[in-house]
Amino acid sequence: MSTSVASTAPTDALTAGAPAAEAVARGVTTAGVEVGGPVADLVFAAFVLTVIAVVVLWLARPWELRGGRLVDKIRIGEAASSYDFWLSLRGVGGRRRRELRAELRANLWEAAQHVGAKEAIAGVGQLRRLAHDSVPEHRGPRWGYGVAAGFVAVEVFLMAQVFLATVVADAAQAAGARRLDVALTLVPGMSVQYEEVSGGGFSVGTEFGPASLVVAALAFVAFAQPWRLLTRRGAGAVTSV
Amino acid sequence: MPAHDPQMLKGVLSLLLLQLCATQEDYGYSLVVRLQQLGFADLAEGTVYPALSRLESQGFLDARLVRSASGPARKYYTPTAAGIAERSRALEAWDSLVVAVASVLTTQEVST
Repeated sequence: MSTSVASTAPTDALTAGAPAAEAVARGVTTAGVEVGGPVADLVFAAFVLTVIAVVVLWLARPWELRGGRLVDKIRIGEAASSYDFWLSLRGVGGRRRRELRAELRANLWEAAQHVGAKEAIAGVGQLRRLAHDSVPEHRGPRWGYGVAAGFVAVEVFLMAQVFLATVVADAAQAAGARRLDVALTLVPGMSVQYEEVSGGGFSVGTEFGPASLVVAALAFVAFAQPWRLLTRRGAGAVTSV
Repeated sequence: MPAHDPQMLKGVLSLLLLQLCATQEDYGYSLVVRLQQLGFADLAEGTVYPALSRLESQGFLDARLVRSASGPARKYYTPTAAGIAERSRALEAWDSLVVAVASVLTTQEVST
């Protein structure tokens, strides 16, 4: 994409990229200026995206565009998102979560008109406590906790892998080895390969193997506690009798 | 006015909310303001909103969304038939409690 500023030169005037000396020789007094390149592309894309965002916002949440401080709107939005997160960790379904989130947003918005967003958010107290008190105790599996624990486990595993790779690279350089393959006995499938490359550099590669997935699955099961599904069904059966 | 005991307030909050909603269909923040104006000045929103959600989950309150010109759609609550019955039951329980407590306090005053 490029944006050009029109030239008012005669038809035989300067063409884009022609040297200035040639233009002077022809007696041309006006010149074309071309504005383009990646910066202009980014500005144009940002402008288009902003227009789209404003139109979508105007259609979906017209009140967001009417008055009020931007920082207050951000505070309320952040509080609603945080509330939604704690509800999801308690295993509340998507539809009910959306309802509760929308209700909190409406109440905070209303309160913010009177006492300010900061005070309004302080009034509801800890959002974790609010989520805990708003929905009855969830006796089923805690899928939200399971997914979060799985991701954390993978993160920890990957960090350990990166740390191990740096240790192997340091050891290989200290020993003067050109190539080194390390396989961990305790973690099947996990390995690190070090190799010097021409030009004085080196490369380090790692194989994760199935270990990270196994760790993530274990963390997921431990925290989600899917066996609660069986106990809940059992409780339901007893109740129905 | 002395601050209300949070535990005592929790015990009667459902009754108060059912009563207010029965008088006039209303939404969360407005109910908080009404309660504050009626004497519960230290009542926090964080106490009322979960109570409303629980009453709705229990089937005592019915809710409907009403578009607002000044902000997001508000959720207005009205008591269901079960809610009205629950209000009557809670009111009787409250009256009975007040009588019993008053009786004990009166006896205590005489003996001291």
